Amino acid sequence: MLARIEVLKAVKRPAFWVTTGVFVAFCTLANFAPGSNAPRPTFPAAWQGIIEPAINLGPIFLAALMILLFAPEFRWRTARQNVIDGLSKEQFYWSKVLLLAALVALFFAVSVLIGTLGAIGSEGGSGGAFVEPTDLNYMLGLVVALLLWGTAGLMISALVRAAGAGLGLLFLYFICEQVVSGLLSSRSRVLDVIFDYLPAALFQTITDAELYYPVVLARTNMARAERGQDPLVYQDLWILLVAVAAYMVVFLVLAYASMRRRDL
Amino acid sequence: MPVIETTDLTKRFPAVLAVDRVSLTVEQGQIFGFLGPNGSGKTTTIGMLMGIITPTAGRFRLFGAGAPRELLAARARVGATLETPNFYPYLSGRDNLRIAAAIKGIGKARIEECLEIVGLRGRGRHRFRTYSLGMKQRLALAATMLNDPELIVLDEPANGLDPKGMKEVRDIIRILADRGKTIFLSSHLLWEVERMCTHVSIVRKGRVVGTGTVAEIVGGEITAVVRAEDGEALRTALEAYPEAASVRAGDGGLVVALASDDLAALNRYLAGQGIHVSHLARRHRSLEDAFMDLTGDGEGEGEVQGSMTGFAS
Ligand SMILES: Nc1ncnc2c1ncn2[C@@H]1O[C@H](COP(=O)(O)OP(=O)(O)OP(=O)(O)O)[C@@H](O)[C@H]1O
Ligand SMILES: [Mg+2]
Repeated sequence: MLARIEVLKAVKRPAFWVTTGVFVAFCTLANFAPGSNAPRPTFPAAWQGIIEPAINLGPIFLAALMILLFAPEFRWRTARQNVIDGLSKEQFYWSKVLLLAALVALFFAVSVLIGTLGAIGSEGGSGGAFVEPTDLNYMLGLVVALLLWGTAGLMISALVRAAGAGLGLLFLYFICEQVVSGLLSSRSRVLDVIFDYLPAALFQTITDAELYYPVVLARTNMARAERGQDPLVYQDLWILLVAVAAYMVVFLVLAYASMRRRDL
Repeated sequence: MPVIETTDLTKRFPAVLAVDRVSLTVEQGQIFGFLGPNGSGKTTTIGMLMGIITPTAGRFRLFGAGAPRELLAARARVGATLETPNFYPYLSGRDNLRIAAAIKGIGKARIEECLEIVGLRGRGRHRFRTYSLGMKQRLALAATMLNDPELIVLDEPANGLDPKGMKEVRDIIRILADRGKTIFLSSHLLWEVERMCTHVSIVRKGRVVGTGTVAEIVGGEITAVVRAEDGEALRTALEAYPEAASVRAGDGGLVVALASDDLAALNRYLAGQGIHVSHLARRHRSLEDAFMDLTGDGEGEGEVQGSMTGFAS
């Protein structure tokens, strides 16, 4: 029933189709854009190129969409009416968590599908597996990045209760974190570590292809060495994932507490 | 078992005490009018009953259910709207009802039935955003009826309706009441309430200042309007008149509540006092008179609170 009402609410909402449509358009452009004469890579090498645009753009679109679908329910007072009609406040919250899960699945499926279609036309396989473990990790990274931004959107909607202000806050935070950590970086080791684990920085780390592909990391570090820069060093993937999971739990719990406590 | 029972229900917002120890009992089959001036806490009280506002203190029961889990089940037997009709502006009237129906577990046929009852069948596929205020109110009414509820709670249902629309709403409410439904409605359209309700409760600044049947609230007494050249002398004479229960200014003269129906005796008495009456007419005391007495500022607030005796004696 919760799934059914969320579907009814979403599929006739223009903002849903516009946001998803723009994301699909970006994915399509990234995967089908003419230009480079280099032959398209075949699977499994194609995966990196498929996930890369999705992991950089998808989470932002998802957070925006989450806010657009959730926050207006307070201004329209439909959250209130849903509860009057028989949902508990908790059920209303879970319906939004369900919505988030569905959107993450949708975004993941869309990006993989479009990418796969784009790569299918290329030259026959080079042998070996269709998917390498590194590709699977990168896909996991995509899902986690989508979830991180999605839960952030969910929390902001529940706390701010207005779509415009919510979107503003999301992007403002993202920019502010980078400005602040940029200004204060390299002052102290402790501070730098903290900055690395703030949500926006963490998001950028887990979306880096270098984190997943040793080859890419080696190439980047070679380029950096030529410019006289220090090589990049990444934490273990699982440490980063635990940190992201911790944020997601905090976001979800804050949203839940806000839904439970506050009047509609 | 009462349908609604509240005990010292209280809601304090940071700036105001919106609902102050409200105790109400609504029995099955009553058409219960919940009256009060703007900002007196009607919507807040209903909001607490519907689970969207957490009470600061006090308790309430719906169909005898008090615990959160029981209340959720009890609310399945209620249909309610609060303040303005709350719907998804981008969805059609019908799709909006579909969402409410999905929550209530109601089938498709019932949606059409309810649209039919409120006369929106023809506009069902248009977006809610394009509806007039009256149509929005009707859609809200349709939504409350979806689950064929035993208790219907309406917050100012006549708001924004034209006289024809109001009559239709009144007719729908009557039909529902005839079928044994309990109706709880808030309003400040007193004559509407007087025509429709069996029981009323009047609130003022969050406090209940009178509860009872409409007849009890209005009181059985006879009211007369008296005018004379010398208003002061008239007032003095009326206040001394043994049959006069109360005297107040109003209707361009003085409104006097009488213990007996004998206007001729009053006229003789005044003539005997040397007062020449220019106007003397009987008037039925209306709910509006009672409402004004109970909610009016200043005079006798303390006497009136919590009882009906303040104005009846
Ligand atoms: N969410 C809120 N936050 C703060 N104060 C509120 C809130 N909702 C209501 N109030 C205040 O509580 C009081 C009662 O408001 P309420 O809406 O219950 O009155 P009402 O009797 O329904 O009035 P009306 O006839 O105008 O609809 C008012 O003083 C109002 O300003
Ligand atoms: Mg109100």
